[in-house]
Amino acid sequence: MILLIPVSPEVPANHRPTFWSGVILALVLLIAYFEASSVIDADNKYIDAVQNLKEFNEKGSAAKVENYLSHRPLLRLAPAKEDWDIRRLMMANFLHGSLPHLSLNLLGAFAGARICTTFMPFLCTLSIFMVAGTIGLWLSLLVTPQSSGFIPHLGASAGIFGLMGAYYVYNFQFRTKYFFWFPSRHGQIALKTSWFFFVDVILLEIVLSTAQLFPDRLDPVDHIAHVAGFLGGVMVASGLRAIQKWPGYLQTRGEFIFWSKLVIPRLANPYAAPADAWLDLLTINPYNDAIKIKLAELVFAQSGNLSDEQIARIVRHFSPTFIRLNSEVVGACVKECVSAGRPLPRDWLSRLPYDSVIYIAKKMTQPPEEQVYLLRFLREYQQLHPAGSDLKRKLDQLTARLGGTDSSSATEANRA
Amino acid sequence: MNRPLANGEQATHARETLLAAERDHLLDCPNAEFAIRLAATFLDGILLYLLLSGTQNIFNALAEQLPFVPPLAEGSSPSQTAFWNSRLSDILNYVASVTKVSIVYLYCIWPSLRHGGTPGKLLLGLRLIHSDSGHSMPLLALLFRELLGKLSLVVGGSAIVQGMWELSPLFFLAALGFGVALVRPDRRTAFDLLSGSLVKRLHTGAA
Repeated sequence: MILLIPVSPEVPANHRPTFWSGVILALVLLIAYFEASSVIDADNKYIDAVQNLKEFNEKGSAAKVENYLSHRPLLRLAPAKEDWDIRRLMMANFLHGSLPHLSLNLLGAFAGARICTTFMPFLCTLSIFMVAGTIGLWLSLLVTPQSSGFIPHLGASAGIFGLMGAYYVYNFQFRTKYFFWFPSRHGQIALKTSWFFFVDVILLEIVLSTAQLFPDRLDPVDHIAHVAGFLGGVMVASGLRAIQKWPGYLQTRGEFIFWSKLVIPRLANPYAAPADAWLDLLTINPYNDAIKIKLAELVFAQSGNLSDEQIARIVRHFSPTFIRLNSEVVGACVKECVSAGRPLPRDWLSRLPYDSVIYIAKKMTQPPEEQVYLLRFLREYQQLHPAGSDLKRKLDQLTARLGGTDSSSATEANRA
Repeated sequence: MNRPLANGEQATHARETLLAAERDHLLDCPNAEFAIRLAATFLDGILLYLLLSGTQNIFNALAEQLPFVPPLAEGSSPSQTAFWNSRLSDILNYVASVTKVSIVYLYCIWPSLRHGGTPGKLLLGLRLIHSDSGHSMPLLALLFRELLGKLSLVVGGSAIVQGMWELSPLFFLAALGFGVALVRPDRRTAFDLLSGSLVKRLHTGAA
């Protein structure tokens, strides 16, 4: 995760993550660290003293050493395998054993809480942090082989991975903007959350957590807590979405509030057109590809029920990136418009890059008897570009090569 | 007079025509700037590191299991167990090395042959093509390019990390190989010139 930093979901500027929730969570961790520092210092001194005892090095005195360890000061605040309860499991999410441990987790907590503000209020974020963190710490206590049953488990990282799990659930279908340390604008890229977030955040942790099950491993990082916290966050966020009845095609909290408070009540009215409701959602979040796909499918299936203006509004949302990633759906939509004689918006067509036209055209070659629509689409695009330009020359060549191959044009040629 | 094509032929002809149009368009796209090529190499480095370190960790975890293999633990003398453990450890190390080399090949070569670039290049909207035809690079030219380029990166990177750049002639050669792109108007590195390749920029990165 340190190498590819998830900065924000790919959303408009007014939906981007805000700082304050990350700052509040980081401040809480900082305050908890300073409040508990006296107990941690006392615990460190206690452990040093135990290690200096002669019983520590004698064979057969393990039970005595365990007895000493069971009285260590930190166990008043943090849980251990042989001595835990729910209160200490929850408190351990806010405790850290050292400044380096705290520093890393402050960054993670800030980033995790911040990134979740796109779709959750702060109290939900904090609840997921505590519940998932508690689950992660508890599972780690139960499963990790340890030399003593009185080694305390503490740290916010299980909760931080819980926030990552919640983000994964809410943003699964969409894209996340990553920063990968390259010092220029090229150092940012938007990648599919379903694939890249999984690989970047949790895959290595899963591999490292299996190694943690072997007692000879000396890696001090609690990878099992990370994985369990992530899964806890996924479970809690999935449950929350089920309770909210959050549709899978909505990405941000703004869209959800609009959909649940304004659209759903209106849909009881049979005269309300869903196309308009989805177009309104795209006004809130123009990056939402799931809704664009729904609209393209709507045009393909029911173009007769849509007005020219609605179709134009829908098609204008097909950006070059969307066309490249969803050319099948866009190709079907464009073919339907051309075959039904519905006009494509001229401003959109004139701005369309040539490679987007190729992507769409590739999806319009089947079935062969409908290639006449491909030619009509290309000719419409051709007419919008000035004669003598390089693009016009390429289009002329392309339409000439394609022009004599479809059976409809062959039939027209024969009639002529 | 040309006969009308049958349906199957029409579909194939249309697809091939569009592919040819796409290749012609690729040749007309701008050559990728040095900065974005470096960013793509950076991204490839990160993704490859994640894959290789994950693989190494899996083999390390497997290696931890070796002393616990039951047939070796029961009924064998300690020296026999140590001998077989050592053999298995060697085999495991060999398999780990082969797996990592395969991963590097699959990462650097196969996507370039099939899709026109490594994952880092594809994600940032770059395409590696043959400079004359606009087709994907042939295998031998690609192997030559990748071997030379990655070797230079490793040499140059090691020299920088160890602070030996003022002493190592290899560092200067490596730097020259890449630095050529900064002065050439077509932004091609020495490895591009030697292998006959071009890196084109298609679109801004989103995947």
